[in-house]
Amino acid sequence: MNWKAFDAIRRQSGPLEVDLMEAYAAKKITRRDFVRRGTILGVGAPVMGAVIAACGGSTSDTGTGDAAEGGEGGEAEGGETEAAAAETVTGGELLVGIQFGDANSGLDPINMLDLGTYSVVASAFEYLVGLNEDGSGNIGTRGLAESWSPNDDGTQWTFNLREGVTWHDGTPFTSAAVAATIDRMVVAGAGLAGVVSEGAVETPDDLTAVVNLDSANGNLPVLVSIYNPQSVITPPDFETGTTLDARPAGTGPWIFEEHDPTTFTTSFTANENYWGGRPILDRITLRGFESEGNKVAAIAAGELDVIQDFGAVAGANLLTDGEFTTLRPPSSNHRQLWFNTQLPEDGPFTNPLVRQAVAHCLDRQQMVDVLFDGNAIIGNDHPVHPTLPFFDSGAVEQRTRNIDRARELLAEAGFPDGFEAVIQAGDIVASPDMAAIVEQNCAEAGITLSVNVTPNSDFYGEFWCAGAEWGAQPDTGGPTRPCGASSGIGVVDYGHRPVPDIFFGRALMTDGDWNSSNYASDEFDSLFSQYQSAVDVAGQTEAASAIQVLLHEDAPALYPFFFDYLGGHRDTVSGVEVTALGHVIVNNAAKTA
Amino acid sequence: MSTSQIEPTDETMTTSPADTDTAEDVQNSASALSTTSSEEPNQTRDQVKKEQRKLLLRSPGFLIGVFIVLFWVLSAVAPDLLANWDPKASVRNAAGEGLRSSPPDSTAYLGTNRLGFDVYSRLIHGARPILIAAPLATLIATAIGTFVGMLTGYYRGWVDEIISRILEAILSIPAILLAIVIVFTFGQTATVIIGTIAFLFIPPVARTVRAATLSESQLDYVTAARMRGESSVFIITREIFPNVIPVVVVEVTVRLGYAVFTLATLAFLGLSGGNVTDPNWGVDVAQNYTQIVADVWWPTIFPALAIASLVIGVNLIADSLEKANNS
Repeated sequence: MNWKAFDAIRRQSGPLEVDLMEAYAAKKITRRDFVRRGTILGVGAPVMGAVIAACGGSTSDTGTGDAAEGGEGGEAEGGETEAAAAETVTGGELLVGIQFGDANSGLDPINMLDLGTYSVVASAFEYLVGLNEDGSGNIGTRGLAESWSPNDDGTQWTFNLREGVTWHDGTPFTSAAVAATIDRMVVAGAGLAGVVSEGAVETPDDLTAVVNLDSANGNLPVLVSIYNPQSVITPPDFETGTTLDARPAGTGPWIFEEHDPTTFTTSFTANENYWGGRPILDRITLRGFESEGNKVAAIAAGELDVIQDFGAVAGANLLTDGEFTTLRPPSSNHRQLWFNTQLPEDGPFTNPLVRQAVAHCLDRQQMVDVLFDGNAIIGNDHPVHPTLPFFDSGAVEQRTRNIDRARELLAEAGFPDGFEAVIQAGDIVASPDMAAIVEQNCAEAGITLSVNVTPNSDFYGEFWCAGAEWGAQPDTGGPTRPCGASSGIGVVDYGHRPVPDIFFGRALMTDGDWNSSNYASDEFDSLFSQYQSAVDVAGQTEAASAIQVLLHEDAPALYPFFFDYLGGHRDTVSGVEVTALGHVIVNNAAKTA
Repeated sequence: MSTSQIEPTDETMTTSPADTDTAEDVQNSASALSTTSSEEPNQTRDQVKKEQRKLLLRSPGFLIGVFIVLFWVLSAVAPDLLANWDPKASVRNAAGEGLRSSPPDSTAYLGTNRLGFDVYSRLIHGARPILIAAPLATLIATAIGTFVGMLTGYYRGWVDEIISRILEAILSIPAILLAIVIVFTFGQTATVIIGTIAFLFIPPVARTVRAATLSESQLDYVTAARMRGESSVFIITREIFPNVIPVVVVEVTVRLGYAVFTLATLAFLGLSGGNVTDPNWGVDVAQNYTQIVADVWWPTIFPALAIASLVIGVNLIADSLEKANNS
């Protein structure tokens, strides 16, 4: 430990950075977490390297750590890009197989919900904070902001925007679009509700956006990054309900050409004036698939060049296909098994004992094995991924299958003979099969579930947040619950977020717009705001630990596992990147001759 | 269809495999019947029926068909007699390891699927839903179709014109397409699916029965009944109906085959009308076929074979019945 060097860096840094550096120096967080959190705070790579060196680590390790996190995919891709460089051809078309998008939202950047639509919208639009350069999947400067930094107490963030960026119609991109987009997000919820208020963005000049927060928040850059897909920067004239196909726009590498909602097929042409350089390909088409099986079969047969995502079981043949490259971006992806905790009032799932009973029925190892062939880790009924710096491994004991305990809980709740219910699932990776295992697991405790599978295009509108027979939420006098009329129990997909703010704020807060659990807990809401305003690791750990305990006990939704996200491409293509949130980044992709 | 049932003895004798046994049997039964029945036409009719039954029992096609159908009926009635696993249990080998996508062996006779469920036991349990829905839909379609067919065939004129045009309009739309629209409109319940298939099969049944009624109503016995002053209801139900029964029986078996096929197709398309994890041949094919490319063929091929075997079994019976009727 070189305290002298460390001190020199510390003196030049703001209080948030200093806190992070000290946490790392005291070995409270790992190097990987230090780099990840440093990136969020906007600490430059040279500074982080100097801190690591001062703390006795080797700077070159940073890169290795990140690459390891990127997994096999990143490495394979890197190697392939070099090998393929000699034979790549300029131009050509790429066909990408994606999830079929939700029919309700259409291509509305603010209301979109599913990975299919994310990938379409993010082909034309870009984020304030993009990915970094090294392929590790961390956030970085491949977005519209070149740099960002917080004020001393983390209540104000300043974003310096990229120069020379134009919209597809030729008009220059300015900070006014950032202010308008963030205002729109605040009104719609979109992950910024409670963090920022309307009109909180100041634009001192065309290339600077200053965001004033309601209270301190160390994770703001993530909330306006690629990992909050609804934060794509749209022109000032966009309103909630404006769709990409109705009003084509964007600053990104691909210019919208046409969209067919009946087949969920969208095509784009290369943006000659893209700030990052014209894409190598001329044209891309993203085609939606209603069933995962058909998507896997299509890429196996060579009909598709790139596949957005696939399951380890349905796509087992792809994992061993010699002419296919699997991409594994870092992932906190999970399937949430939600319960409607409020409605119907006399229903079984409004009783936390019943929800705990279901949790005790689940055979998590079976899910990891059957659904993902081992490409997953066991979860403990809260969305805090174990690799996060503020994960508290001692907070709650791992829940395991215990049918006797489940029966006890059911009897205590007044259902000694079990009950019947329908479990809803959309037809995407592993969801129907997960529902089948939940049904099988629960049968032994006397709970009879019937699985209903709906095409993804209808699932969200019909079962997830609305459409249950109890219809609209009764007036409780409290905060509105936009997602209150969800089905009693169901399986829904959550893509990767580097920090769980979205999982907490949108999916579990009382007024969260994705709160299909209809969860209304004052305790949770206050713990979440405590977590958000904690700017140091210790404060976040304290709040996150209490949240782990609360969610584990209340069980508004179950989180039986976190799984590896799998995407990939045929070996006739190189330079493809995916994120575990469905983004398919192909502006550097090329076809080989 | 011929109308040989009325006075067919000569024809039957010449076209049947006229070995001595048969001739003797016919003689015996005829004399046996003559003691209980005094009317001459009844005697010959019974004789013909007996002869046809005999023909059927000697037809290998019929016997194979009956064997296949009976096997599936037994599976539907008492699946636990034949199946060795619960259709939703995770199959485990002797060492207690869960078997997923494992090929056929002594633990799982036809292998296991991706969830570790036993393919063979799912086949056996999968017979019940299809063997309840298909015959039910067929019977409804036949009952209504026969009624409509006889009305149009007997009255002809504007009744025939109107009803026949409507039936033709329904027939002109591809059946599966129409079925999907109906099921999506009225909801994916078992009742709706059975009703839909029944509805789809009314026109073909009605058309066949109408043709038979038309030719019957031109025969002398109908004219005689009219001259006796019998009511139309009497003529349709008591005179013509008994003579179109053979046509209806064949129609039932033919439609049953189609009903099995249509149900399986709808289930394959995701319209099974129930819990999607319940054993169902069409659903199982749909959920597993993509794994064929990964060489896991057994969860797909065996349910597909089950559908095929039931359709073929029913059609073998239908063919034999039709042949016997025409003999």
